[in-house]
Amino acid sequence: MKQKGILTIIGILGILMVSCMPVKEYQKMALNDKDMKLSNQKVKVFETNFQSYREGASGANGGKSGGGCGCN
Amino acid sequence: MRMQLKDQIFLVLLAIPTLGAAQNIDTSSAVGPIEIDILSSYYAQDGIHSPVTGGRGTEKLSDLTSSVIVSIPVRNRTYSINMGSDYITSASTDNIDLDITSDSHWDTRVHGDFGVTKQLDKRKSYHVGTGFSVEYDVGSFNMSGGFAMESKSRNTSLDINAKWYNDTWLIYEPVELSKNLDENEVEPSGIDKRNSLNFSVSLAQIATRKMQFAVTSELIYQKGLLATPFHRVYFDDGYNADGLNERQTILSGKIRRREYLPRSRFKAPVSLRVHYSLGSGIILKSFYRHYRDDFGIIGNTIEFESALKPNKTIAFFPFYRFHTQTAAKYFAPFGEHSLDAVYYTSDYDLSALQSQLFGLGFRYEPLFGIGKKPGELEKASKINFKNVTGRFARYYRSDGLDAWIVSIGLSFRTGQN
Repeated sequence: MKQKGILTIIGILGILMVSCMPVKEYQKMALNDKDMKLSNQKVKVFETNFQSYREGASGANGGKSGGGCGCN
Repeated sequence: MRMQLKDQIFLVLLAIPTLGAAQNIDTSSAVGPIEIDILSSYYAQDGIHSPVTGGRGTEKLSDLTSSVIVSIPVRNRTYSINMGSDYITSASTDNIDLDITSDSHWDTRVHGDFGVTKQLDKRKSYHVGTGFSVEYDVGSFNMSGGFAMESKSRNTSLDINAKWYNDTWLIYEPVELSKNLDENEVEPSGIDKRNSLNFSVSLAQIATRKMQFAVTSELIYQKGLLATPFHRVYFDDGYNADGLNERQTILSGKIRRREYLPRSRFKAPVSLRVHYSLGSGIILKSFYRHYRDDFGIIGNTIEFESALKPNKTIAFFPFYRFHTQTAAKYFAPFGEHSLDAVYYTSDYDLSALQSQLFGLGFRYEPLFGIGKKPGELEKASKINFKNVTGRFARYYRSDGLDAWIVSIGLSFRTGQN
């Protein structure tokens, strides 16, 4: 039970890695869309911050994960 | 204490000119377009489990935040500055003392972060940074560094980051437990430290022409003061406090102590982010995080967001987030801690809970900028208004905490040189 979360990520990751195919620069029109960036919009930082205050779990999302504040 | 905080900030300001720059900045044509983001948000919450009054009582709080982020590219370096402030009012923090006639406690937090990213070649870069944060009971200083590299095909990238925080806390205790009272007003009874070390590795991979994903693993180690000194914890001592309000409970004989937690904590979140372009202006984004720490908290978070773009000027972002976590082994509700407990908290942030967040974002970004005529070129010497973004979200926590937040961002950029 405890390892379900980690196994879920490993399983999905395995599927994704197997399905990877090389993509040339001229084929990246869809990938170069600014909304495809693998990071949060800057304006989302305030939501991520209050979630780190109001929940015991934090991190791995570009937000606060401990230290620098009067938070958990 | 104030001298120590000022000394920290002074050291940060002294260190800025040395960060990654061996020579003065050449401000001639080597300077690229400067980006400026002005961000602001208003957050409000209420609940019934304030940790200041032992897990009962109002959690009413509001936070008005603003920050400015400036990014200045100079040749192969980019300098970034992030300065901001929070204005926080909290009804529960007002219950540290017994002055019921006072307004809600308010606090101002000021923070700044400064960094430099240096491009070593087309595929490799490193960055260094430093920053500070000051609020009424916590002063913080941080330093960070990282390295990023891409594969030759630019289909794979690796990001490694480390960050160290050094926090100094003023110890404000609940008034009836305080060792330092000045005319019934709580004064700090001492100081304590917290050090946090964060280390993260992120691997991003292009999967297909329309999909890419990233895996992030982070390790956080904290040492020092991890409890909040002005949080009360009431014990199972046989005293029936049912029917008493928070002030009456404070004045009663029910046994209470200030929150006490271990002085070290190890956290290990890992996440997977997948973005997929459906075409026709629709992008699907998903995020999953698994978290565990040595306080006993195991958490799972899943988020979905989509980008809906009916034309090239405007976009909408509906989103939904679900989070669930188990309780920390030191948590118990009001009056349920055993008198023999070594560590104890009644902070519902560390309880077993589920939460949901949903809302809508938007972005308005005309092709030639806001307030410009079509075809009008950007002027190198002028600041151009690029776009405005906004988000509204509602947040519900299973213990009854209810919150909402509205955020807005304005982006500007100087013209190309």
